[in-house]
Amino acid sequence: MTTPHLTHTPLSVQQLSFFHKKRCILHNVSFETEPSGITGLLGINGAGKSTLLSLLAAHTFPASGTISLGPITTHTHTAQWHKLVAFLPETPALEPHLTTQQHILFIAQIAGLPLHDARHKTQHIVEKLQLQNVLHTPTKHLSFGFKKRVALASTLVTSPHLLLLDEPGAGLDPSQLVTLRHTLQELAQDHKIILSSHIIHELSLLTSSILTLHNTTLTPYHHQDLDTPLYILRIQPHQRELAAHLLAQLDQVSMTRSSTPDTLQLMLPENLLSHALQLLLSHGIQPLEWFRPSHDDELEAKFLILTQRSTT
Amino acid sequence: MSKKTIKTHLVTLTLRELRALWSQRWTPLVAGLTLLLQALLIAAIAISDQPRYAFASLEDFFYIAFGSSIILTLLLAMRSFSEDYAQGTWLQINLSSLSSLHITTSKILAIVLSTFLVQLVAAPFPLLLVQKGHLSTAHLLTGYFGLVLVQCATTAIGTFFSSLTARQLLSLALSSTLLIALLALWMLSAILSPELASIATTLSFYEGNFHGFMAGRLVLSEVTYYVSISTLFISATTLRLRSRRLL
Repeated sequence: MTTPHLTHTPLSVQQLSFFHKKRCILHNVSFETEPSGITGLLGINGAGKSTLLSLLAAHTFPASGTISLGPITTHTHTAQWHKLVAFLPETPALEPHLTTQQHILFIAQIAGLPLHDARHKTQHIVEKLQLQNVLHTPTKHLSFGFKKRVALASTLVTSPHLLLLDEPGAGLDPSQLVTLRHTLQELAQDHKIILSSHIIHELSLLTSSILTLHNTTLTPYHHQDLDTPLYILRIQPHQRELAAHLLAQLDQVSMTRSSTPDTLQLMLPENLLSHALQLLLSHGIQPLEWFRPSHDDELEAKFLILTQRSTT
Repeated sequence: MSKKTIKTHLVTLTLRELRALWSQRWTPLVAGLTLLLQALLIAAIAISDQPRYAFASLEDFFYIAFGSSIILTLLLAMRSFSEDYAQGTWLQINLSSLSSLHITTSKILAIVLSTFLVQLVAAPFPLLLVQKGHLSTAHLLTGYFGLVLVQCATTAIGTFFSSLTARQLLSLALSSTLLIALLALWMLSAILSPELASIATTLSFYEGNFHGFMAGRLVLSEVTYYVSISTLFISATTLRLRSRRLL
């Protein structure tokens, strides 16, 4: 079967479930990505992000559900799927006894490329990711940042339609993160990318949509959700639960309780702010303080809210 | 998949396995120790007081090489899949377009090739026996053919157990246990009924299945035995891989 044109075909996941040693990791997860661009996968450690990516890569198989790119699914067209999809794990696993060039060439060859094409593509990828200086260095002697770059080059050498990146920024220093961000933004023009992270700041800069994974379920968010302002509300500690109950009834409001007993963290549109305040006042709740936190605190709080984790 | 592609895949994978084997210090060390052990045992026979025929000495050489081949092959085979699992390099093999049979075959091919080449280092001694003792070259070739079959069978067993676990020592323990059981099967013949004793001897890894090669005789039943063991465990490994992969 020839591969149909899949550049603008979204990835579709339906009712995906996965168990590990009788423990449910994913339960009826369904989503569809944008036809192109970068989709973020957000979740706390142990939420199942790596597992989901592993399933999307057809490295492991689910208990139930389907994963498809147009007419091609992981179950019925596995060999074809492996040619369309490339997976970069969190810890890059490179052939330790090979040099950078040999490793990328090896990956290209076992992906089915003829030797001539494999050499040509290897050269192209090496130039694109600026790996010329480490071309003849054994991969076991590379720094962590270069290992990640070589691993990324290995995933790109087969020209996949879909790139799955598991925590690509983990372990990189700030300058390497900037380089990675620019590289991914360039790649997003020609590839569909799903990348997982718990660094919400990186996801907010890179992605157009975010999927959050928490307690075996998945919730999609769009970028405008991340743009929703976050407010810190201080009230009397004994009124916090009542305030939380009242505000939870409002549409477009997401909240979490912070570690201090007198504070709530709310995400809501600016035009709902006065309505929310009036609701509290009408029930005898007098806010003591109402403000927007610093940028870093705001992102951290949004991460907690989006992953729906209570901090009390 | 075309024959050319299959050949290319096998060559690429086998070269990768050979590089992985010989880039580690462990492999030459183990090979050297095995050859040293072999040399010491041969020397112990050679310096005995009684004169011996070249024919008998060549039989003893293959007897000792049989044991050292098994030891070397098991020590190399224990890492074949386990190392890939532990290092994480199994991911790229699993997601490639390679078939499970190709992967298994290339790993076994690399180990058998390595073990055979190590055994060839000791070839001057049997060559000397053939030349000075006026022995038939066919005896030498038959003996080495038998060694290759033993190495294939042992590698297949070691590779199968390696495919089950990421722990190399566990893989070595399991494969060693099975091989010791197969080697010791002939001992049961003393306590079993004649019919069962015959079966035990037929299934024994050494007794009843390697004597022909040692003596320079190509016995079909012995060839069939080692080929069957190899086929059985290659198939088992392939099925094991298929159960882990969607391909």
